[in-house]
Formats: sequence, structure tokens, C-alpha cells
Amino acid sequence: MPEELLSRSFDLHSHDFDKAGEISTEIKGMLKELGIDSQVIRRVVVVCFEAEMNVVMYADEGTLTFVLTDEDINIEIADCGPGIADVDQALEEGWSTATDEMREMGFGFGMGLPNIRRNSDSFDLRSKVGVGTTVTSTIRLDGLG
Amino acid sequence: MAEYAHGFVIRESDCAGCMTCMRACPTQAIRVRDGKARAINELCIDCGACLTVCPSGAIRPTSRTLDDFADFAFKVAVPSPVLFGQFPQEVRPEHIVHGLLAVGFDAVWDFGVDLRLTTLAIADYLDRWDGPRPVIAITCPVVVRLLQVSYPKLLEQLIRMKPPREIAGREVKRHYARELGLPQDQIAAIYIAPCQAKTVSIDQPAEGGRSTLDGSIGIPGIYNSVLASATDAVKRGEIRIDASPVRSATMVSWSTPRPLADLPSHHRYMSVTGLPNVIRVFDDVERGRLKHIDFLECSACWAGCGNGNLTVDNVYLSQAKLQSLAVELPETDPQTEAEVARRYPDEDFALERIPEPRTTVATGDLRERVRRLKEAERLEGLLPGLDCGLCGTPSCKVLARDVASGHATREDCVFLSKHRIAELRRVYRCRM
Amino acid sequence: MRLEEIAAKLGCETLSAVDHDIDVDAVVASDGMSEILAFHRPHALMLTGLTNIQSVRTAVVADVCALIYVRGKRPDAKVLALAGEHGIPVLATPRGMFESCGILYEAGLEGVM
Repeated sequence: MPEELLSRSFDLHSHDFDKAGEISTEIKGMLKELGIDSQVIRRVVVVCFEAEMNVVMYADEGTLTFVLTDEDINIEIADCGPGIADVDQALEEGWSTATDEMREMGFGFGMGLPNIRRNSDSFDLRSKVGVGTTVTSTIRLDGLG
Repeated sequence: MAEYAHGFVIRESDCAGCMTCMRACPTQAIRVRDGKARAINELCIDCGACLTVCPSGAIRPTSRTLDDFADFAFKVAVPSPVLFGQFPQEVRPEHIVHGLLAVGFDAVWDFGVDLRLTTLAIADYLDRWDGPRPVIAITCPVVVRLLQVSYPKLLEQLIRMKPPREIAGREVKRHYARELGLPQDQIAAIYIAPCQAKTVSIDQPAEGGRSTLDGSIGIPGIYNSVLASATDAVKRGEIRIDASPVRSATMVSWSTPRPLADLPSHHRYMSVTGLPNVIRVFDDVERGRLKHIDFLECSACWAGCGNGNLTVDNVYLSQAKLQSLAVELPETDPQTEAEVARRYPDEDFALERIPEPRTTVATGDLRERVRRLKEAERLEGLLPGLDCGLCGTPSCKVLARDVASGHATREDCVFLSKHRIAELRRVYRCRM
Repeated sequence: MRLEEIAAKLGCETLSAVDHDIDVDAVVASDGMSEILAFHRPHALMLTGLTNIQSVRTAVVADVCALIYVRGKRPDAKVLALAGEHGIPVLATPRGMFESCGILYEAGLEGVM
């Protein structure tokens, strides 16, 4: 069982577009100081940034929990948003329920969740309509996923 | 942890604890405890910034004299090209050689050949290199140590070739062993150094192993006696050897801000001087910029090696003198080229080992690093962020990291301890 | 190709301090930020018509070497300030995305996908 070394929790707020991305930047700085491999950092940052944008665009409130263990990095994004009706469909590239307003932000082209999955060594998406969505992503520190 | 040799000592009795050196240190390697400055061994890159700014003269380069080489049967000076710009204009290179022989060297090495060989080898190396660019020069020991401390990833781009002084040291021994029939260890190859960093790199090469040179003497260590005999030789018009060691304009260029004047022009070459500039350029290289540069020469000293901390003359004056000398000289010299052609095919330029990163930031396993990070972040939140330096570290951030790694206590901060000011009053004998 | 050559070909205006010593070998161009994040390669040049703060955040995460806004669009001061903070050079071209990409492709640059 991997041992947990560091855990951070961040609150995410709906429609806070200006702030979206700050958490990823903070996590990037922290991982750099810890001397984590730069490829691993790059993947973690993409996952966090996409997850941040997802919550900001679709959900009401959410939490991003970052956990560093001696083997990997786990990112869990839980929101109390509308939920996803068809999870398989949501993971298809190009499928999106974004509004024009979201597309104007440069997001909502159906790439967010697939991007998170692409950068994860293991990935899980659970959702219940009317309750919320939880995305978990694990990235191994040795880059041998 | 490895012990790193350094080229200076801080004399505690002379140190006023003024913190000037601590603020000037580019790698934040100096702490002031109990009113005395101390350097953190593994962070110090021997740039000499502390030495230059110290107002009380407490920081001095460690230096050797010719007497330290008395056990050798034959002593050969390998003079940095910088030496030839340090004397009055009428004292020409051949007079300087005369002076070196007069003060006790048995021979003065024709270093121009090794410099030319190095340029050719660099050009070949660049033609063959298919790794990331730019390739970084190895000549300045401070730059190599900066890479080890702050840019470990760029060590891969460091040229895997010995610097010219090391090529010279090896050839000195071979040459005189053959000529005199002496064992190589009886022959001393002694570098006449323009900076204390080169002294350090000879005592302890960054890549490990042993230098081919037996040691070095800083220019000030021989200057007065060489000047006396050289001036005398100028007056009397008599010299012991009339062959000048400076026979081509390209050799002169080695003590200027753009040393590799003779690198073939299809190699895109950039030269940067001054440590703050070098740091900016390395930041850019780390971001993948400057990929279109083939060869990057960095010198920690502003305006290049001619401004090393063991030089005597003003850098601009010495360069002006060298340039007026270069005007009289041909671009290349047939005698040098002949020797280069003879040696080049068999010369082994390869650096046996690549310098390794110094274990500083990433010391300890991940668990330990995380513990320190958490502790440092927590502490930084308690500190005022003024970077006043009264704790004896250069900034609040550094104090937080020092406390986290057990090298300081939070009570060192005047804001967090009511006793700290009283303690400082006592140390600095301030009566209020 | 050097960034300054690219700037000249596209008739770019410089919006922040630009270090022309940047060598570009690949381009990523999209208005979809996730596209850029999905297909980026470190140190590529980013072209986009999106001028909000997310364009710069994406540029940071995707580790691009420079950012060019197409169709004469300009970001506001806050966006430029964030780019400055992260040392990303920012330029703007009056040409549209299609034309810009065509010119750079013609000049021998490749895409990242």
C-alpha cells in the first residue's frame, strides 16, 4: 500500500473563469520544488487544469484533492454538479454539452475528459445525475504507467 | 555528503559580520552566525563574488607559491593567456617569459598550441554531436559548478571534453619526461591562474578524478617578482628566450569576452559574460530557447577571464594592451599550426566523467523532501517577508528552508523571538 | 525557424517583450484549449484566436515558446501581465488562422499532431 506523504485540498467555484488555472500553477511550483520528474509534472498539470475547467464550466461547487504518495500522485475532483447521464459518451473525443459561452472560453470541444484520461495511468469516472461527478486520476512517479 | 574544496578562506578574526557577502552571493550559500560569515560547502560555486565585495578583507583566496612545488625536479609554468595583458605595454610576452624563468620556473609552456587544438576539437565535436543544443563550454569552472548546483538537467549539454589547461598539463609531462628522461611525477605542471576558481578546479575537478596539472599559482603570487625581472630585461635588452609565447591573434582572443575567435563560422557561437547574465541565459536554455545556437561559452566574470579575481590590471586596460599586440600578429602562426598538426591525430580530448549534480535541493528521499517542504511553507507564512537578513540568511524564504532542514531555528528571526535583538546587540556590540 | 522570421512573415505586432532568439520547429494552432493541451509538444509555437486569460494559462501548461493571436485580436492588460509573469512572448497578426497556418506550413514548419 503506497504511503501518503502530502495532501492538499482546493475549493473550486462555478463560473470563476479568471481563477481557473491557478491551482494547476500552484501544484506545478510545489512539484518542481520537490524535484519530481518534469514529464510527470506536465501530465499532472494538464489533468488539474482540465479538471478545474470542467468544474468551473459545468458544476456548482467542487473540490480538487491532490495526494502525493511515495509511488504516485492521485488527483480527485468531486463536484456537486448536474452529473453526467452517459459516462461512456462523455469520454468520447468531440462529444460535448458545452454552451456557446463555454466554447468562447476556449473549452467545451469534447476534449477535457479524454485529455484527463490520456494523461492518467489509471482513471475513473463516476457520476450520478442530480448528485454530482467524481473523477479520479492516478499518475505514477516513475513514469512507467 | 561529498566535501567540496573551495578557493578561499573566511578569516573569522577579520570578519565584521556585515552580511555584505551574504547578500552578494548568487547561490545563497552564505550564512552569518554569531557575527561571522560562513559558506555552505555544497552550495558554493567559487564565483568569488563574496571576495570582491568584502569590505574588511576577511575573505581571501587560498594561494600557493613556487616553494610549494619544491619537491619536483622540473617546474613548468602554464600561463593563462590573460597573464600577457597584465604588464606595462613595453613589457612584451617574451620579457614575461624571461621573468617567469628568472623567478624559478624551469620552463614556460607554449600554451597557444593547446588552445588551438581545443578549438579544432570543439569544432569536430559540434559536427558529431546529435544531442540537445546548445553545447555548453567547460572552460569556466564557476559555470560548471553553477550547472551542478542549479541546472542539473543542463549538465547533459556540457561539452564532454577536457578544458585546454588540462590538455596542456598532460602534454607538459609527456614532453619533458621524454626530453629530460625524468619520470612524469618529477615534473610539475603549474598553471598561472587568473581566478581562484581555476585553482579549485585543478585541486578538485568537478567531474572527479585528478587534474593533469599539479596545482596553480594566482597571478598576484608571482607578479611583482616577474615584473621586476621583466622590466630589468627590457632595460638591458637581454632576454633568456626570444621566442614569444604569443604568436597569433587567435591566442590573444582567449583572454577576451569572445574566446573562440577561430571557431569555424558554420557553428553558431554565442559568448556570455557575467554571472547574472549567465543565469538568465541558462534559464532560457532550460526553457528550450537558444536551440539554434551550437556552442555557448559562458564566463562568470564580466568581460571574460581577463577580469578574473586574481588579475592585477584593469580588465579594459589589459584587453587594450592585448589588442594592440594582436594587431601586429598574424591570424595563425605556422609554428603553432605545425605542432597542432603533429599532436591533433593522437590527442585524447575526452572527459572521462561527466560532472554530476550536487545533492542540494533534492537531498533525502521523497518522504524527507515532502516533510521539509511542508515545514518550510508553514514557517514562511509566519515570517514577515522583509528579507532584512538579521537572522543571518539572505531571505525569509531561505530561513524557512534552513529551519526545515535543521540548519537554523525560527528564533533566529527578530519577529519571532524577543531575544534575537538583544543577542544581535551583544554580538555587534551595539549600545542603545 | 526564428521567431523574428515568423513575426515578419505574418506581419506580427509585438505585444510583450519578445526574445527573438527563439527557435521554432513546430506549431500548435487551435481555438480549443483542450486541443492544444492534448496534442502539445513542449516549446512549440501556439497560434490561437482566443484572447482570454485561459489562452495564457493553456500556454503555460502546454509549455509553449511563444503565443501569437490571430485575426488582429488583442488580449487585455491582465492577460498580457500573466504572460509576462510566466515569460511567454506574445505577438498579434492581422491575418486569420487559416492564412497564418498556410504561411507557416509553406515556410516549412510542421504541426504537432
